[in-house]
Amino acid sequence: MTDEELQYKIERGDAENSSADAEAYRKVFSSLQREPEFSLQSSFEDLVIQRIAAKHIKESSRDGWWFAGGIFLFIIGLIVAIILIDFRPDVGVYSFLKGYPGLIFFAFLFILALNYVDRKFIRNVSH
Amino acid sequence: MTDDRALVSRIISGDVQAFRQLIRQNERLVGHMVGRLIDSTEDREEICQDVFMKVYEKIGEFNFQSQLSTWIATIAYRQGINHLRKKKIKVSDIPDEESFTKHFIADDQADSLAEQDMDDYVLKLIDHLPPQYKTVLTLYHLDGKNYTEIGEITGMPEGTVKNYLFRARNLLKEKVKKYLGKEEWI
Repeated sequence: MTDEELQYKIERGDAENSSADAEAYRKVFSSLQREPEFSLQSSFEDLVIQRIAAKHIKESSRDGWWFAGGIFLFIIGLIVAIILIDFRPDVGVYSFLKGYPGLIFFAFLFILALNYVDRKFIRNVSH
Repeated sequence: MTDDRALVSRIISGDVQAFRQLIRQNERLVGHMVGRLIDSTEDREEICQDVFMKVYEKIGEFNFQSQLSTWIATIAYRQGINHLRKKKIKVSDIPDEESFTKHFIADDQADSLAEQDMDDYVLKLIDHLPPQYKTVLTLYHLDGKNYTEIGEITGMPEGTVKNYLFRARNLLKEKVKKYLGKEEWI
């Protein structure tokens, strides 16, 4: 009998074979079922949850700093651009709107209506 | 699988109790795998925590192609192997079969501890096996995983899993036989 066949038989509980190899395999198989000494602390679950919560706080604080940094750079860029191009505020091309007073009001209502339709019908359906 | 789906869906929606349940269900499996691969007790505890942190981060990517426990075991195996690599412990290759077998059987480091019972002796012997052998033995005998599942977890072909399992048990048998022979003389 090959060693592979012997392993197969012992694993399936063959008790007839009493050779030295068979006895040794029985001991090995029985010991392999034993739990290792290492076990996790009883508070393991809490430790993992605490680490996840701490990571979330750290990440949201980092996101906040990035956001603040972005706003700061934007303002600096805006100031530099205004200085460089010598920008003067002017209604310019938008002066034609004076002739159509209802246009801004209509645009505002139209955007509101689009948002309402999107929330009410489109997003709900796709979820 | 249905339970897995419900649990995963609760975790994704932010239910902390569901994640606690996942930890309770799988901490034994993760503990076995990490415990067998890593020697240092402090490192083991931290790596087990890292495994569940990773599970929490990646749970949205779990695609139910396998059991949830198999997927978690895959993460535990990778974390363990990465840790060994960081510690510069070679894990990529199994040492040459013939020379390793000779060395393992002749080595008497574990024998000095053999005054304990047979289970302790075999557990000490397992510590001296290559990481792949330890993992295959643990998953098969302690966690009841089959060859296919062990293959998914470790990334080894099924034939390799069978071969490693056979060789590992054969090596342990040779040592135990030698030890039992010594006992008879005494």
